[in-house]
Amino acid sequence: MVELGQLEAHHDKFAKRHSRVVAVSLDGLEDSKKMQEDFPHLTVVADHEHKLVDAVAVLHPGAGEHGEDVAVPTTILVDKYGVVRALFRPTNVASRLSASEVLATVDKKLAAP
Amino acid sequence: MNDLHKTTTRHPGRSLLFFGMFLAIAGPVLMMLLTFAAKILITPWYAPVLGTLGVALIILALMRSRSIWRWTAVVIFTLFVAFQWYVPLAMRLPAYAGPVKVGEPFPAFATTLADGSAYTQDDLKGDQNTVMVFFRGRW
Repeated sequence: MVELGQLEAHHDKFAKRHSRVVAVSLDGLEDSKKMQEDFPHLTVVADHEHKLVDAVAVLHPGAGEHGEDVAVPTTILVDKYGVVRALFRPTNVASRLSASEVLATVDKKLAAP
Repeated sequence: MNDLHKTTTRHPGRSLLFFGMFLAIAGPVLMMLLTFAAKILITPWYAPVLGTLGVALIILALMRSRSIWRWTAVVIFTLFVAFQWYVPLAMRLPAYAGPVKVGEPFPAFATTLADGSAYTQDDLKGDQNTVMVFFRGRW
């Protein structure tokens, strides 16, 4: 998991910015627990019932490698008041924000006034 | 010197052929290095662009000297580069059209964390900002 691994590796930089990284997993509960162990500094959401992914409307039904439902890669920045400050949706499924780009967006969109 | 001159004369355009094949292969190799070694995930448009340039050089080599091997190279590498164009085009994503809007509260939801505890939109409020990442499978 390139994306999550990068975010985990930069966890201290997110902490300095008073930001936590929440990774939303659509896998089963046991897989989500394993993911939490693999990425201890991220907060893993076990959204196997699709409650969060449906609320945000980023489900891509049947688009997984084995026909399973997957999320459309999306990154959302929310401030400490629960207000959305930025949303990034790549134009291509092979494209992702790097951890450095996420940090730069946090600095730009979530900097303390 | 004379041997080199003879080789060049005997195989005109050979350097174009080899450099063209190198360019056609370079894009996918670069993509693998960026993705799995450098862990940089960007849309690999550079691959079909390099490949197209490579095929153009292979065609130039064919024009310099026609042989069954060069015709074969043109066909194989043209198909290979066509596939390189197809992949990023097939993986395009539609623009986001959901309920999340910048400047507005995050939509209501009620799900669970990996430890089984409840997690709702109220948990987004507090002393920390949230970077919420919806990721796909292996990434």
